[in-house]
Amino acid sequence: MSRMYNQDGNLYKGIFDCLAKTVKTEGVLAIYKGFLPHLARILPHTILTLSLAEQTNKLMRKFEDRVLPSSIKNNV
Amino acid sequence: MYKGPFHGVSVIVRNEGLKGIYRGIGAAYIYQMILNGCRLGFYEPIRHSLTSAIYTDPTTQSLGINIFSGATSGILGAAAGSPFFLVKTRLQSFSPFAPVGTQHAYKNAVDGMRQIFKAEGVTGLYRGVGAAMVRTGFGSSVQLPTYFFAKRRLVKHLGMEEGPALHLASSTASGFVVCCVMHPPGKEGPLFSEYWTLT
Repeated sequence: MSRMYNQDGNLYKGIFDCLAKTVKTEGVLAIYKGFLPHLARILPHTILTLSLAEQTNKLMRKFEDRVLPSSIKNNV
Repeated sequence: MYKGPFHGVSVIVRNEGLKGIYRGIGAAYIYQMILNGCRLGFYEPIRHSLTSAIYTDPTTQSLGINIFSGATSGILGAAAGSPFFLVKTRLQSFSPFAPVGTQHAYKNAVDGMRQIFKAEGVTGLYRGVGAAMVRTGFGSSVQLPTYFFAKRRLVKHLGMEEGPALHLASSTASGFVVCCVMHPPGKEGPLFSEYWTLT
């Protein structure tokens, strides 16, 4: 995608064309160029997103237990 | 111009101040809220209804259904958040001191969307939506399936209990797999500046 945004003219027709051309001219390993900086971004992001989502779910359940009368809760 | 992420940040801070590295943060927040809201919110409902439609037992874990549900919820999120992603990227790329590539002078996210809509209409706002859907679809297809898979395995084989440690371990596994899958379609290119302006 970065290569497509950066291209001069129309070297790549689409994502899969870009991937195919990269593999053909630079080999399979070229696909994973810049993996570490990408991981340095994605890993903390994923850890925070999923861990915070779990905490939010826990809070929601606690909140529901306190607010909803048991008669309603049993029907949900 | 930028030799690496840290050099890039220091050049921007020196020239533009702290404001420079936080350009587009409002649009980024809206984009992330839409994307992750869809990712986390649609996954379980889609997975549950597909599983109960195909299997007799709705608690069955099917790898195919899980991946399909993850990809679908990510694609929905990417489609819904695409205009914010576009305007965020253009706000981030704008620099009065060290301009790289095409520059768009928007005052803020709302002004940017208004300008794009006026000049190009709705199609302009959804520029690049196809690529974003492919990229996010790849990432989301493994994010939650890997997370819950790792969680079940850690509980079963290592006897870990529900809590922050389990969440940290499972989400680390998930983040690594997401990066492996999302990297090829998303980050084709050696330009460091790009790693920090795209997503």
